[in-house]
Amino acid sequence: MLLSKRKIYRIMNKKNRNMKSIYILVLLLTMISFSSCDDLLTEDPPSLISYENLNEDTLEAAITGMYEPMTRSRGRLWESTFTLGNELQADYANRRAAWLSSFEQYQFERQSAGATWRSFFQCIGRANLLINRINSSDIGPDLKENAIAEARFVRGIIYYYVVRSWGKVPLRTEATLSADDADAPLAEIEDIYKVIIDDLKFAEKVLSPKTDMPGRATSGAAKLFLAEVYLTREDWQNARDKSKEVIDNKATYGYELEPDFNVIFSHNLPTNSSDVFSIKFHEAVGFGSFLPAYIAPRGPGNIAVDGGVAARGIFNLVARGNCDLIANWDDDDSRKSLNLYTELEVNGQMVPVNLEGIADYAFGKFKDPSGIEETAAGNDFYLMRYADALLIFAEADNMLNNGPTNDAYEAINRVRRRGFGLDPYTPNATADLPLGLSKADFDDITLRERGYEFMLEGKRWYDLVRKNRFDLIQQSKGITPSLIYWSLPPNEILTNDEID
Amino acid sequence: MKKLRYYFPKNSMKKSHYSSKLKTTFSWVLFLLCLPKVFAFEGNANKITNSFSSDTEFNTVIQDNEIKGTVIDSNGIPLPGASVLIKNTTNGTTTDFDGNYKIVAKKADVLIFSYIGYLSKEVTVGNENTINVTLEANSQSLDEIVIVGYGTKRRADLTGSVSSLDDDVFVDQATTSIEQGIQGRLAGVQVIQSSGQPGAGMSIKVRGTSSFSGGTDPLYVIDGFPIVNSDTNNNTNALSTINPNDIASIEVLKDAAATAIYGSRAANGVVLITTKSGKSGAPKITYNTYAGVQTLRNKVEMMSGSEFEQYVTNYYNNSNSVFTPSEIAAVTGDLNQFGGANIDWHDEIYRQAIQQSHDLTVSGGTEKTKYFMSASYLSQDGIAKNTDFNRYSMRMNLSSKISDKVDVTGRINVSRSTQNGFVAYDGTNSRTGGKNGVGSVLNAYPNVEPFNENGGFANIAPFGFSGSEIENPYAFLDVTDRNTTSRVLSGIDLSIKLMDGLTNKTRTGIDYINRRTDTYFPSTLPNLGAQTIGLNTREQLSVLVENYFEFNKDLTDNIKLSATAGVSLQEDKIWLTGISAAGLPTDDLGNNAIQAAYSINPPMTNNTKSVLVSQFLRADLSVSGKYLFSGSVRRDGSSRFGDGNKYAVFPSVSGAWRISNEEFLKDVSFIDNLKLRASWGQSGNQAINPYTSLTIAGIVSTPQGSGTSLLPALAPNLPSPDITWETTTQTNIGIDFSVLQGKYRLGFDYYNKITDDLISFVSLSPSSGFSQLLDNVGKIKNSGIELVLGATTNITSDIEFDFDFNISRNTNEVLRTSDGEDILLESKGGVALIREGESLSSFYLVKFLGFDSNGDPLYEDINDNGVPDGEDRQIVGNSLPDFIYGLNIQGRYKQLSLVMNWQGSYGGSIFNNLVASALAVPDVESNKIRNIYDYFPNPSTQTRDLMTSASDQFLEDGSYLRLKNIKVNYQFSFSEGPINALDLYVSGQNLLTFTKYTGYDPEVNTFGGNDLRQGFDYGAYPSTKMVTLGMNVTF
Repeated sequence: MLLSKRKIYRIMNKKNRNMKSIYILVLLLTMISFSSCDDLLTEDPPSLISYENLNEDTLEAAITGMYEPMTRSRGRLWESTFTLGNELQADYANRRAAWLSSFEQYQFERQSAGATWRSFFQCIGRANLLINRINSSDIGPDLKENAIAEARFVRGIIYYYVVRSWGKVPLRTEATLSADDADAPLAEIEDIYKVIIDDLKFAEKVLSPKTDMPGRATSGAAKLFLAEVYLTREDWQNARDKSKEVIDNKATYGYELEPDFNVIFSHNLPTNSSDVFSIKFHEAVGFGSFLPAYIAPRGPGNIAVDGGVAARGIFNLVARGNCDLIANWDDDDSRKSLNLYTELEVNGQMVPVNLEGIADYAFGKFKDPSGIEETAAGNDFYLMRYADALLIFAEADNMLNNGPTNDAYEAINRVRRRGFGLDPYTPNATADLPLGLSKADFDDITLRERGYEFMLEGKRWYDLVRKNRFDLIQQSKGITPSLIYWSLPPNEILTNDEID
Repeated sequence: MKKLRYYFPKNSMKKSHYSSKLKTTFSWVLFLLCLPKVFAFEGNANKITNSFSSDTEFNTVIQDNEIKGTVIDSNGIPLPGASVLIKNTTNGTTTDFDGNYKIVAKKADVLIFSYIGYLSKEVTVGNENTINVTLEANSQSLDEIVIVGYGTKRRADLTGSVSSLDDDVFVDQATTSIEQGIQGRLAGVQVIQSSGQPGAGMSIKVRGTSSFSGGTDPLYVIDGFPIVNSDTNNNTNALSTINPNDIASIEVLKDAAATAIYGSRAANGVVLITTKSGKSGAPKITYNTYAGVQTLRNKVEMMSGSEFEQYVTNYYNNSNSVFTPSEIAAVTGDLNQFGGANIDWHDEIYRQAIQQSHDLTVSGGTEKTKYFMSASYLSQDGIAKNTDFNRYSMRMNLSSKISDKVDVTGRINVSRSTQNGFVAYDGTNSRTGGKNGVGSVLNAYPNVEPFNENGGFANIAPFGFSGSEIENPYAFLDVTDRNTTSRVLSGIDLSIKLMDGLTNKTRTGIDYINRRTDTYFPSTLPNLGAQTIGLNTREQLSVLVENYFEFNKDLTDNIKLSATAGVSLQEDKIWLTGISAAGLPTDDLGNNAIQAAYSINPPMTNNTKSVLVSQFLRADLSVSGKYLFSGSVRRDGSSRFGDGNKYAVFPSVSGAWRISNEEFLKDVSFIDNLKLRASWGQSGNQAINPYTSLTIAGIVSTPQGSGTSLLPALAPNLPSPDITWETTTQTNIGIDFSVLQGKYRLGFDYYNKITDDLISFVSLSPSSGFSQLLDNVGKIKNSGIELVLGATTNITSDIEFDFDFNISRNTNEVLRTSDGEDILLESKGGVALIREGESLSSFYLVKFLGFDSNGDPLYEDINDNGVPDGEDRQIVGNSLPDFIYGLNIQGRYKQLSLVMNWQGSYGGSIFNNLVASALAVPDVESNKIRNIYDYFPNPSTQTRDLMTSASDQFLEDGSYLRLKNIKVNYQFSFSEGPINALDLYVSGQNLLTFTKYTGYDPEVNTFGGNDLRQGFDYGAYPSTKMVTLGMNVTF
């Protein structure tokens, strides 16, 4: 449509008569040029980052993105529904709110914990996507391998929780790139564990022993998860070996039995020597843990109880005093007062807290007096602590050797001594277990010790299932669970064509 | 047209053609029907008997007189250039700038007053020499100019389905927004005022819902500028910034022939809004004002203090298998502690609220330059204390003829509005955990005083059995929940006449909106806890540049061609900013000093841009004024779609046959208009968010990797690279029929709309890592009929009535979903379902069967597992009405006039979740509705454990009929002095509503008009009724 210069000149010369034509011509040309302005229609989002081509600048945020769903306050994850549910299924907790009754009553055919399911699989999905995208990127081989190891760590540990709570689930090891990839059949539990173990082994091999970014995966964390996975699988040899590697190389990983529980369960410290792997929370609204509010008793009008243990008391999770574990808890064990309380110090005076006639004790492990809001408590949630290594070792070693060895005694005693407020490495008659325990008694005591050490850390239910100790639940609650696994979320059944 | 010929003297010679018997009969019938016109003889009633006698009486010559007077419209505004003719002659004159005329006529001559767009009027000359005439606007006039996309047409020439409203709707009714004026006025246009919150948005649906996710809002075009009105979930809407008094006319384009010219944004219909402009003549100054008192329309019947105590006692006694005797005794003690109080929380929280409006305009101009200026102020207090809406708005519309060939028009509208809300349930408000002010009024215990002895908010959940979900409603009143919207909408249109019949038009415009949302929860709230602060701003700028040609040519004497062709470029940018923080040294700071907060979250910004590039063409052909053809095509290019899908073409063809202009009907003089219309065409919906086709990640924050601060984290999406436009193909057949100069009118339309490639979020199995994906998956059909009936009768010159009735029915069928799968739209409590073969948004609930002998609920247990659960759900109803209707009546006796606007909806259910989720749940965690025993005769813990709130027990009939507006107006006219006209009126809104619905209002829609979950009541701000006193003055 371009006119030659001469032609335009000729038109121009025709003066007024043709001015109109020129005007029309210009307008027509404008219109034609409009129709080919593809550039105008090309999108370049200013506030988003391309996930098509990851590079070294965007890699770090992409990795952090895999962890992000774990840390969503009210994401119904560890610090809320998931832990509340798991603890209510165990023997020592009671609920106040009606919506938690399906956990407490083992109505698992009615309980799917759908929001938790979604968040978990978002972690897995992002891990798979990261592996897929990074493989097609120009990122250097070391960074690449490290990122893949971190992704496999995340995938491995999440599946470890998923398989224990839901049983058979879809096994996803490839990225979801379109709707065609969205459906997947239920996998056998054995196959899921195979992936978990492979992933953690890869992470254990590739990752660094330490990280300067609290909350990120390390080889030590992978190793200890692996140890617990083996323990769950009753693979005593491997469980023992892996936990022993962690214990023997604690300096390499920077692990130690931090003597002060206030440091471990601090609401504002980034990490400590006990921290093997934890979900990090921060004192900002929406980025904190819900747990302190869930366990804090209700003050007048539900505001924080005097003395400030949380921004708001919801008191959904309370302790059962009749439970064998709690009823027979040594008063010298400092973990008892850490975990259970009936009165609080307010202005220098001890005042009873309002237990509403429904509880013997309030739970106290997670407190954030400076948390400004119920979703702004900074207390981290541990998935693995150094104490896990010692207790896994003690249990596995006892089972493997048909009775406690000295090493097994030493491992559990270290945890006990610290619990009694003593130096973990100095033998102590009060704290140390009596020698000469049978295999069964020692196993029993290890389970009990795990109960004291990890109360409210979401491990008790899994322990009772794996040890087949529903008698403890019957003793405390008068019910024996008939089911172990939650039903799959209805949305999953409805939308996943590979599931009947 | 026959009718007009009969009346207009220049055609009156043709009267001699009325020779045959048949024709004589027709004219006789006509004469009888026109008798009231003959009565239109001001100030001389005794002449009436004479006028019966015979036609010849009219011709009795007495003597010539000079008759003078003023011609005004119903608002008292003089009509310059109106024609005044003596019947059966060619003698005539026109009125001057002030509407005055002089004419020499004989006694008993009949003067015909006419003006384009108004009903003509005949007056017989009597003894008085001054004849002042008021002409009524005729919205159905064939000569009426109708605004269509990129141009105007005479109504007579329309081939598509276009409904019009003039500014009367805003004069008749004390409206605060444009949509209120449309409600009940137009067939096929459903307007739902889903919230009584002052300044809240309303949803408009033109011919049903034809999109899953693209929204149902029509495209709004203000003075040629297509505006963005997508931010509907914010409970305020962009239209609320426009002063209704500035509106000259509203056209709703319904069928594809009318809408296709707007292409990719027109599938939900197009609403064209034209603002007022000045007319040449003396300056006209008007001042309109009103003040009204609003009150709560109705209360939800709750238990009194003693009733609730009795209920709690019953509950514990019924639950004696669960509670021990000592626990039951403790409850009695608990209750006694606070015994005696009887708080009606409706009376505590709701009030009589004042609404007032002031509107001042100046308009006028010369032949070359015309101006219209307005300044307005609206202040509406909400019936909930501490809630309100106010708006300042200024407008200047200026047009100037720069030369013979060049016209320029500039418009600027600046407004600022502020809305203070009552923390309404919006389905997503995570801060309040779904709690809301309206719900708190219903949940609060009636037997606890609101304030403690210190004057602070009392703990209103003091009982051992109190739930954590209950809070002091006064606390909600203290929450800051404010939207402040500033807007500049401005444009300049340039028109250049290039040659005879060819004009080029350029339109440029900007629409700038800044909406700031402030929220603050003070520390004094018993339950809502810490001081949290939120500040969100949304800045949006839309820039429009258009250029098009208009071409008109008479090809032969009988064949007229007109065409419009042009290009358009519109760019929309949005800048979002959000800050949230918590903890302040003192509540006094509120949201005025966020830097003082102890904890500040990472600020959020999100910027987007989208571009639409278009070309359009329309051609109209008229053959002998009988056969009309029209065709249009628009090609849109949108940045929002992926490569390869950026462009789409939307064609339409239509035709009309004006049977009344045919020879064989030429002599049937009482028929003005009989027209058959048919159209076919396509329009689209591009309502997806920008960047949907790209593989991208949003940026979120997490403490993981730090522990004591937040780090950026990528949240990758699942892209939809192949997604394309929704295309609506619509066929329309219509009839327009009017007789006796528009006195009786009938309009009928049948349409069939099929929308394909519906964009929807497809639910993915959550284990894929993504819960949903946008895709073109669906197909839906809407078909319906629309009937409009109108009558204007002048019983005498002093008594006139005008009736307009419309009724329409839309049926909806989902033809296809993704892989034929159901789409579940779950929300707390209720569930809507989209299923092939069913109507959109069916209620998917467990069927309630009644009670067993213990008073426990029984449900249809489809999966036979003994509990009501997800698998027991079935389709049990639908929210879509069977039909909607409106009746608008205007009556006048001398200077006294009456307006009534009735509006209703028949059929369709409402899921009363207010009742389902708390008020009828057999527990003691909140106050209960008085008739809870109807829902659960034996309330107890056991009953609660057996019940499900997702059952059709809570489905109610949503039918209603409402007297939306009634107004009595008295008009004073002044022949001398500065005031031309003065109207005083009293009006009432929502004074009568007939419905069986037990919630606050059957016009409820918690999720807004654009959501597919329709007919859910989660507790909208209650509706009001209002009595208003008002005054309009014209100088």
